[in-house]
Amino acid sequence: MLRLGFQLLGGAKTLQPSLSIRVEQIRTTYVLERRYPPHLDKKNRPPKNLKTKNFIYDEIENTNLKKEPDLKLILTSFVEGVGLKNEVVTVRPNFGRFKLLATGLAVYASPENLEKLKRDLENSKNDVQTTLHSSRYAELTRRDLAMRILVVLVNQENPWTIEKWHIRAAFRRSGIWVPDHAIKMGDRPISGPNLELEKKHFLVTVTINNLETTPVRCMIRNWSTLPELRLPRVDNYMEPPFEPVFEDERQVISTLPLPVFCLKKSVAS
Amino acid sequence: MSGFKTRITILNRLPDCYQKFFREWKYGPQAPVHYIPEEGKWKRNPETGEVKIIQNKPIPLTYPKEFDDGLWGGEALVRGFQKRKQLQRRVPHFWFPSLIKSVLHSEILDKRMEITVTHRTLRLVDQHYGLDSYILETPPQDLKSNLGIKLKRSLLLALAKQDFLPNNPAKREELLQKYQKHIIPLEEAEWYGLTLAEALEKLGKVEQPKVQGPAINQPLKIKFREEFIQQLKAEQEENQPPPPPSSKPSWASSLNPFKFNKSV
Amino acid sequence: MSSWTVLRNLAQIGSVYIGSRCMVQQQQRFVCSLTATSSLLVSRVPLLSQQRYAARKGTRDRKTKKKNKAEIAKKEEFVPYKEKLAKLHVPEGPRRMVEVNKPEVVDDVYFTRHFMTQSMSLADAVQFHRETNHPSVYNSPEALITMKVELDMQLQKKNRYLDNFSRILIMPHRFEYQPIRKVLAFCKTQETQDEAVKAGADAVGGVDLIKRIQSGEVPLTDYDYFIAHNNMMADILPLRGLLKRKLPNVKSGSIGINMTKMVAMFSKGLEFASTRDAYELDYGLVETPFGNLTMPTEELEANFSAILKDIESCRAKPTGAFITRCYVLSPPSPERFVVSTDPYVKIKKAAESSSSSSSEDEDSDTEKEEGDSRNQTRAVKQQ
Repeated sequence: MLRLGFQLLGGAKTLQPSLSIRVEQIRTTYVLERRYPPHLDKKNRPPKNLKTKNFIYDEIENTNLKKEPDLKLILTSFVEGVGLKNEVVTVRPNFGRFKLLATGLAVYASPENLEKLKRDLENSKNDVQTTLHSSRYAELTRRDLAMRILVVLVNQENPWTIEKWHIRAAFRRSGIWVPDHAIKMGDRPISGPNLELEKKHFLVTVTINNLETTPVRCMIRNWSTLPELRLPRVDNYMEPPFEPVFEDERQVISTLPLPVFCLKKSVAS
Repeated sequence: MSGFKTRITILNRLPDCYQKFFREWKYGPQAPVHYIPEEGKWKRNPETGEVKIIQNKPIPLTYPKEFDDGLWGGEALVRGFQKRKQLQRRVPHFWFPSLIKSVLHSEILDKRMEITVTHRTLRLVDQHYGLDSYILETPPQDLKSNLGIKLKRSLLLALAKQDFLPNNPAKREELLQKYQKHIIPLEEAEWYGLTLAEALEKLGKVEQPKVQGPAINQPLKIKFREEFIQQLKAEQEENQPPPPPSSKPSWASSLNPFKFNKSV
Repeated sequence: MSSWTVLRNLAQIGSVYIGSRCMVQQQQRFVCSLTATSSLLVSRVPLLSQQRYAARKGTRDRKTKKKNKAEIAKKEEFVPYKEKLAKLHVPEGPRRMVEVNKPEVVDDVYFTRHFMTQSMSLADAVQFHRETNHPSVYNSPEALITMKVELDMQLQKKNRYLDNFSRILIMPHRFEYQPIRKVLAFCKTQETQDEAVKAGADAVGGVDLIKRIQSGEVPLTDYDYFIAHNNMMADILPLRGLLKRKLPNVKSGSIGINMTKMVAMFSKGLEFASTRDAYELDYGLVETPFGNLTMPTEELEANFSAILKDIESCRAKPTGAFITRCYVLSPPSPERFVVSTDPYVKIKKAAESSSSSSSEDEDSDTEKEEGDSRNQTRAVKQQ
């Protein structure tokens, strides 16, 4: 269907269609049906001509409005967020066609290709498939973690020493699931109550699937159960400069990528 | 119909492989795209029990000029009418396919091509696991457009000559193995996918050397006439007196355009 | 004209005098009538137009008045204030958390918002809340631990939903939460009266107490619940008008033999109720604490499973999941965890019943269950 919508920008006074035409095209594939089917042809006679009546059609289906089925592909290399090399993945058709097939990152999962893949895997059974990436999301998670500043809440009245479970709970509170074995902390203890440590950074190391490793900045924030004892509210407390707890960690803390909202601010300014 | 007849007579002079291709391309039955064909040979009316034959008459399609530059996957323009209400006069209506530009990759030609396609084409390419298989496995009447036919021709030629991918012989062998059933002899491949005009030109080139050779059925009249003319020419040369020696220069040579100026 | 001929005939037949008088009279009458009609005919055109105009004006007014009246009547339709208020604050999204197009968890470290929510065991959730409410962090180690249970209130019929229910339950392990409620017990014999007093009933009495209540000596507003021994069933019936819904009955469990248990349940049991969403009618929610963080995990688990089983007994449909999701919270900790209810509640699968629908026993079972659930809901209404 071709629709030409004329929208006159200058109102009815100025009729200048060349300037103000808005062409809106909606084109779709149709499956049609004759409302009046033609008469049957006779045996051993030339077929009858169609009448105008036979050209009246009813739309019975519009294939373009249907949801296309997913594509099954074999990845030829690691694709972030999609899969590992030699993995059979199911993706949306247009993403598969234009992002994976057109760039050569994947091939169709045809029976021949699947057989070939099977043969290849059998031949290369001895060496490990990939030691670069543990899973399709691990690299993305690692990058996001490196940008994070983890807020570790500590009580400003009771004595504390930061332990592994403090970090785990802090991660969990900020929406990141990290098990105990993935966290590695420094040897030096950090303990309080100590208001001088407010807004100071220290590092922990997170290992994803025993492979991807990244240091993560942690920021100490004091908190009290009694509202009158709480420290005054500070805005933009996650913005640089970052003060380290231990002076030798200053280098790493400043070189880790900034959080996204800091980057946006710097671009805007 | 007269034009059709003359074409047929011309077609008969072309090789059989081209005739077969041409008839398939132009008059072969197309896959149903814009309608759903009824299955079976006969059908019975459930109420009256009357048996009728099933005749599927395809919906006539119109091929615009742009059709030849793309791969529309069997879709084309449908010109017809809509009857929107029972008591309303029918309204002319055109059903257009939705066209998009897309990049398709050919393994054999080792090229990425920007082609105007429809969503159906993309789906067909996916179903055939690649552009090459789609084009090779689809009959010419379904490819229909000049671009599709030319692509098929170039693929068949490349397969017949076995000269594609000069830098990657391993891949070439693999592809030859893959498309084994589509390989046809080179003579047939050279005729495949030509338009009628191109085929006639090619026919002319093939037939020309035959015409330039010795004429077999030349009438004697012409031969004798030529002999007679030769004879007359020879006689004329004999009888002609030698040209007189040029003793006196013509008056024009004595003229000197610069002499007058010099004297002045 | 025919009348003229008739008159002539009459004149010919009758006496001349009388006849002539008659004729004259008749003629006069006719003339009069004729003039009247002719005058009407003459004056009709101008008269009519005036009359019509006036009439039309009147009808218009009448109609407009009618219309206005109808509009006013429409406007004055009463809408309760609460409903009006609720209509102003229509929630944006669905009440249930919907997770679409999210992948399953693959790694051991992941961002929870990008993946499907993982449910955990109650022990883990309690442990995590203890960590967050630890003295070194939020400093509230004695915080209450609460469960939020989402329910599917859809009944088997379309557009029919389970009514809100409220329950009282004796916890396997008691914890300080609700104040102790006052219970009045009707018992005939001295033994049962002693038993009730021992259990902690605030007032005990027999037939004389009923008479005192009827006379107004004992104020009913002092007591939250009324229970009765089995042998007092007939005697308390006159109190129906006074107690109304609080009248002891078998279905709510306020009539029985074991006075100790009944008194304990109504005075110290955990009271909780479901709330149905005003917009999403099949969404029900039960929110109740089930212990303190200081209690051992096994005790918490026992309480948790007791509450879940009690909620499950009020189920709306005989098949399918009634409890759709269960959160465990512990304020001031901002976290909430989805706890899997599978170990505590058996899910009745719809597929099983449909596959064995041919057997009549199963069907009758389901009917029974349905009946039970109905009874329970009824019992709840009475409270």
